[in-house]
Amino acid sequence: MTDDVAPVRPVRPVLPVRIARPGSGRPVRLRRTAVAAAALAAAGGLAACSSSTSTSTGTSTTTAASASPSTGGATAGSTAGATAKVSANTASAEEIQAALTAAGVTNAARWTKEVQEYRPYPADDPSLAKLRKELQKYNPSADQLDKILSALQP
Amino acid sequence: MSDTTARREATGSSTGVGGDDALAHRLRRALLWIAVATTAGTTVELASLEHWTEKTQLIAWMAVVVLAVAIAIVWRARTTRAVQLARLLAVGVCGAAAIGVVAHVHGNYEAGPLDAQYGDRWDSMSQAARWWAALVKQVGPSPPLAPGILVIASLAVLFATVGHPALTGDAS
Repeated sequence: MTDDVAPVRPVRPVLPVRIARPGSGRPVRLRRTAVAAAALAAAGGLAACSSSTSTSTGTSTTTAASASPSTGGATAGSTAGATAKVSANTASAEEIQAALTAAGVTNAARWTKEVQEYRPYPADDPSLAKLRKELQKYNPSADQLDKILSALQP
Repeated sequence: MSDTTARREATGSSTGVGGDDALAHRLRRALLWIAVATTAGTTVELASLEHWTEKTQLIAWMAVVVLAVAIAIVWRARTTRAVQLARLLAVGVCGAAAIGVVAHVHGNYEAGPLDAQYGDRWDSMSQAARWWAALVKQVGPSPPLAPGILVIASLAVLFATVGHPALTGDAS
């Protein structure tokens, strides 16, 4: 009979989801894991469910995964932004804007337009000196300029 | 009216009239040389600035080409129609220059939020204060009145058509 208590445990994965609210500063990875675990628990608990139900659980998992980069915001940007650079020459506006946003750049959409305007950038200049020179015309703060350049590569 | 000019008009001196024509011709050439120098300088400036990163920036290049055509027409004009065409082109360049001034100021206005000093308080500034900051280039990268150089060149071309021999059929 004590085993009958076990079905209550699937409630546990919900807790990390609460912990992972934006204000908590918890890693996004933890939240993804929690959501995935909850989805698996739900799928396992409802093994006899219809195909429409399994579709809905798959959708919710996808939504959580795709939403996490934007809700990850500054924490994701400060860590992933340094490594996940996008090409200033070939990346789309959406990609550049996402990279700049992740790097913590304000007015990312407007800066994206400026990055695209001054293409092309020399492929043999990883420091993007040309882009730096062009963007300095707009008198940005040094911090802002560094964030922009940290998210881009030729 | 100077005494010399008055004397010439009174006596109908052909020497005086011929002298005036020669002087007018030299002044006309001087105006056209000013237009040529201004157009050439503007071309070099546009090239050094890579003034082709946006489609609207190509307006300046078209204006320079049109201005060069207008200069050439006035320089060699033999008919009234040619001079009138040159005037029309020069006026068109003036219009393009005016558009350039507006575009530069607007571009600076749009760049206001990106400025390190004004960005934080841009939204709280009045419209007048924002436009003024854009007009005097406190924000943005564009020199607001730079396109005005094309107005000067165009005016030089227009003044070079005043009393042009082709208008009276005196062009040789």
